[in-house]
Amino acid sequence: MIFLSIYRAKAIKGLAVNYFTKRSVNMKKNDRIVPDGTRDILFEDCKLRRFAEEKLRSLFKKYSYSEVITPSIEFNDLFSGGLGALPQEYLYTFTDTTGRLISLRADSTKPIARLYSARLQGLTLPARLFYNQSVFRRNISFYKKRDENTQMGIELIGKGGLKADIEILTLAAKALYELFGENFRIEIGHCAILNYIISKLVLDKQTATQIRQIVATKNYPRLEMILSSLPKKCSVIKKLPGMFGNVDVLNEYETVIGGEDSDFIARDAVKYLRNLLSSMNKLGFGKNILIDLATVNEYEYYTGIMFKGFTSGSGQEILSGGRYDTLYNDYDLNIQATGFACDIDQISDILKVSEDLEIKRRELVVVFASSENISKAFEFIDNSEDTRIKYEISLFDGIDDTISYAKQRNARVVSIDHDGTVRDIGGITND
Amino acid sequence: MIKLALTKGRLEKNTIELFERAGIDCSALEDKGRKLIVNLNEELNILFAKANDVITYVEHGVCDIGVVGEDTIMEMDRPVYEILDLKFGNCRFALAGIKGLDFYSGFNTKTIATKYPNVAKNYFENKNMDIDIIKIDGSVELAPLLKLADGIVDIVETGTTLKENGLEVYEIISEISARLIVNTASFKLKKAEIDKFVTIITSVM
Repeated sequence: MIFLSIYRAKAIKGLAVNYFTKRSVNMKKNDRIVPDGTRDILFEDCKLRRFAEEKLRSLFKKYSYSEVITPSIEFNDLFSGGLGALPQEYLYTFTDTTGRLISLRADSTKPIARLYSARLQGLTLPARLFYNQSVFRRNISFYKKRDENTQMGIELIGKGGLKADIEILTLAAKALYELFGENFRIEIGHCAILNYIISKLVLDKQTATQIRQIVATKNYPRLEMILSSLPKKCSVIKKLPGMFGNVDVLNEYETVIGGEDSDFIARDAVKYLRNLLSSMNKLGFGKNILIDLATVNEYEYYTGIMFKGFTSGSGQEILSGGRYDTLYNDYDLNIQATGFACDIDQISDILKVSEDLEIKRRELVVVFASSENISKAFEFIDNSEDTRIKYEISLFDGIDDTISYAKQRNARVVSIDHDGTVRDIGGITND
Repeated sequence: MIKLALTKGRLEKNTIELFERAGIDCSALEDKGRKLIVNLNEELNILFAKANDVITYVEHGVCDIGVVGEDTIMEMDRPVYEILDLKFGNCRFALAGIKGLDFYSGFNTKTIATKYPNVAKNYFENKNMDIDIIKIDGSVELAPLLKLADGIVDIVETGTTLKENGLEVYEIISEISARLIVNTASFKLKKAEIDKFVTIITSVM
């Protein structure tokens, strides 16, 4: 039977590979493609990324954030242990030369906490750091998700309170404004909203986790089911998934709903959100900021506000952040911290299809000089100060080949004689 | 304007019945022929797809809402909001196998044949039990009959198919029904329209 299938496989053109032949031939076929979830980024796409990165970099530096770079490889414990541990399946893990487990960086906030505890404890607080680096996560195939993403973000370390939260939110809003103009929104929630309800219901850890998951997925049917099985009744939690919008939502939550179930309302958190919203209003970002009371503590290390940024080109958030005052406890440090990260890959994708962006193109000039005279070509280029032009040294032996090449590239040719005379051969068009 | 993805087949029929009871005019669907997208009115645009694809379209936001069975939702586990139990298409996930056999006896690792490998895996993981899984795309009942598997994880309605093939339900895993799913961005950006739609639907349920 095996005989027959190999024979048939060879006889069918185009179907030359079957299960048996695949195993016996060297797997050369992978040498041109890149692994699932990864990609090459070329030319225009690179320009877009650098454009986005430059905008954010200028903003962060202006506000006194300093850049740090953490290693692409960390010990696995950093990501798989402690607060905000990521499930093993998400991490690219392997071993170092001594057999210890190491993983590709899956997040930047935890490495920075590690870095701070190891080398930055001498800094005057609050410390302001920013980063711009890749994070690696394993995704399921065939869902158009990338395993390598560039994240650019900031960490405000060592100070809590309203002003710090306002700074971080304002910088998030400014970052999105720099990139997308008015076309963005930031949704804010607060851990205490749901935490308070859960603590009042006196739930065991498992049920609490279940409830968080159900609220996060706005799974009303399951919410009904699980609430009916609880000893204490709470109708507030049923209304949570629908509680998003402007400041009216806060009023509704406190007064209308509060009336029936006032025991479950985290009033301090509501008041805090109201203050935040009012400050953001005064800064001119009022219409870009929304409240979502059902925001759930996705990374498990948030302890206060949590927020996500969106623009109309995408369903997923392009910016995500919050306050995490207990993260540094993993290092026996009591440090308040807050920050956010932007997904540069998604941002670049959105900018690409947006019609508002104009990427400046430089004009190309090919400079020809003979081999003995080539230094004059370099001199010519060095002396030029026109930033609208990019130069190429002609690598061809003669002017005719140079002109041929320039024709293909829609470029001008400049030729430099032995005595240094510069001849502008003019615009060469593609016909 | 809401784009709604409907699962083809029985769920499609049940949904249309529900819409008509709710006063939504579905006459445009009667002569749809081979058309895949139909405008019901200026507020509702419907398309028809296989269950898995309904979830994919809603997840990516090219459809705002979808009607799909909880079995597919559980198996695919994709990021969408599941906001309403439509209470039709009722059945259950069950562990089944040859009638009279004690599934748990013996020390060998059990083999499960199923169309829902993730659901099966999670079910047994919660029981702290290792199993081998063979994915079968249809007529899963054949597997234990051919001695390919010790049991199957499949959806069961009346249990007639099992009975007629000498199989029986060993355990019920969970109840299934048709659900309304919503894209996470649409849920917020089209809140008013979606709320209105849900109110219309629930008023006749």
